Amino acid sequence: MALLEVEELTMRFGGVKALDGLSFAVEEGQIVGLIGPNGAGKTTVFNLISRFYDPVGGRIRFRGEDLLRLKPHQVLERGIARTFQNLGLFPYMTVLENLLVGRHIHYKAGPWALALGLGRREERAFRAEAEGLLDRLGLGPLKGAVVAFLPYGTRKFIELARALMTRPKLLLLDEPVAGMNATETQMMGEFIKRVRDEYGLTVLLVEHDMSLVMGICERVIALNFGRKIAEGAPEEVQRDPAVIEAYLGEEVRVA
Amino acid sequence: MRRLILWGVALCLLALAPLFLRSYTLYILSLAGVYVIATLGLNLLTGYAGQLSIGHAGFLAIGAYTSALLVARLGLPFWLSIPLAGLLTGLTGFILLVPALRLTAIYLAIATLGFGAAVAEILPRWTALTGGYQGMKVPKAVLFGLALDSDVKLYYLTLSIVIVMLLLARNIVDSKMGRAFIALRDQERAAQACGISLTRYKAYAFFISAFYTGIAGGLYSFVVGYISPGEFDLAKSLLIFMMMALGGMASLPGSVLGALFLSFLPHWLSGFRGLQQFIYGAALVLVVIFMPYGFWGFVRRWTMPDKLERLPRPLRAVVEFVRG
Ligand SMILES: Nc1ncnc2c1ncn2[C@@H]1O[C@H](COP(=O)(O)OP(=O)(O)OP(=O)(O)O)[C@@H](O)[C@H]1O
Ligand SMILES: [Mg+2]
Repeated sequence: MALLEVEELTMRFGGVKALDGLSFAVEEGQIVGLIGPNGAGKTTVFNLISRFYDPVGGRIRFRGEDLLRLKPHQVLERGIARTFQNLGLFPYMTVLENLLVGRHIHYKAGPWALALGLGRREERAFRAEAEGLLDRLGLGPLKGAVVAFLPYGTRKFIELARALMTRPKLLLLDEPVAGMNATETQMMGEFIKRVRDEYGLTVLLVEHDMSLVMGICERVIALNFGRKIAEGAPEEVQRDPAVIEAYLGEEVRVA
Repeated sequence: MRRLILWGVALCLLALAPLFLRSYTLYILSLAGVYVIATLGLNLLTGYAGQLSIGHAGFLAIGAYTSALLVARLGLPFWLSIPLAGLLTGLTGFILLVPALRLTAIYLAIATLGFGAAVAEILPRWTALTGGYQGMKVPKAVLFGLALDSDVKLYYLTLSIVIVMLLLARNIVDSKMGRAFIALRDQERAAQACGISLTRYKAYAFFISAFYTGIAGGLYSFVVGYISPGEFDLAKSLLIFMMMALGGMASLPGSVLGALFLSFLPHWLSGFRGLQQFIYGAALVLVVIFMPYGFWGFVRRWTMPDKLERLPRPLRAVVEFVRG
């Protein structure tokens, strides 16, 4: 059984059919890329997994469990963490506080205990853990900085670190290297691979940057107009005529 | 460490205040303390959790009448009546949770306005319980045989409760609960994707806020000694709101400063006959224009400039509320 199974997923926004009977599966331990031109429906897949909307039809199963029965906050409890295309950081919190929100569900102290100031010990432990993670990313000195004023690329790393703080099984990354230069892109790619190995993660990532997709993905799924147009090893998908055509169409449109 | 010393000095000054201040000033200070607690409650809800309320006088009234009635009718000791008033008022906070889960922004504000208005309507009509428009006299507070019958004693009572409530608020704000409030306020979706339950944390926010305001109401009834429905009107809700906005949204020290300032302002202005309303209004406008982050933001501009941006500006917050 695959870790994540998406079957016949269909989503409509008004007249726009964002997803049209999309099916795919993600095997445990893999890094899978989800590619496609703008508006293909990639982010919509993530938002449906996050339970932000109800699909018109179809099923999503995670480790065999029907995800569509869950509320948005329960998705994380099952072990699915994500990042957002336009960053989902809390702008007025510090870097460290953002990471601690990632630990939210792991706190044991209840509301009364928190009000009475109990549970400081786990707070300290999580703080130390967050600092350790930041140090690994070379972001240690920024832990007290307010997120809103940091460079975009740095914030992308922080958001990934926050997702890791949740101790996920499956990580959904929506354009992790958008707006990054080549060096940062390479760093991010290596980091994703390293954490996958270390934490035993499965990664599903949306990305337009083909260097990242070709560099770290073991499998690629290509979408266009909400439908799957190709799936397979990265090189195969890149050579697929339907994929080339979809991207060519986009370039003509953009130009 | 410097902060600790600062707080120590402030605490000493407050503890010694009765040696220097007139009895009437102490009474105003006690009243200000009541508003500090209510403002803390509103700030936790509006400043931190982003749920706009302009109906908090309703909670203040429920707290005041609950504690007064518990003592007058059931003969409960007063020290028990205040936390009970807080708990009961906290539960009534869930009434507002219902619209809060369905409405956004300005529509929630209208619902809270309606709540405040409804409480103000029900109180005078429920004559058997509340004594109607005339109001009711509140029994003297007695603590273990000691009657709290002077302004000095009531001042110390208020001061201790304010300190406890401040410490609790600090704990809440610094915990995962405070972070969850801010997370939901600024990035609802990302917060949910981090496992924060919208329903649960909105419920906490409304309970805590109403609890604080209920405690404030309970204390109010004993400090003033007399309560009547007319005191808990829209003007009072707006007063608490302004204390929060002027002091600094999402700031605990700001709540203290805002409540103190607006409690004393009318007394400072009592010399300017006929001009009071004008100066009062002008003072508010000036504060909003020149201290966009409230009093506390103003203080921080010198003490911690790098942290300034963490406070939401009152005006911007309101604009964001309106836009939803
Ligand atoms: N909340 C929404 N309301 C209305 N339409 C939406 C919404 N979300 C997505 N859409 C539409 O659904 C389609 C798919 O959008 P989606 O964001 O999934 O694309 P994408 O593949 O992520 O594109 P990009 O690469 O530009 O991020 C688009 O036509 C988009 O306009
Ligand atoms: Mg997208």
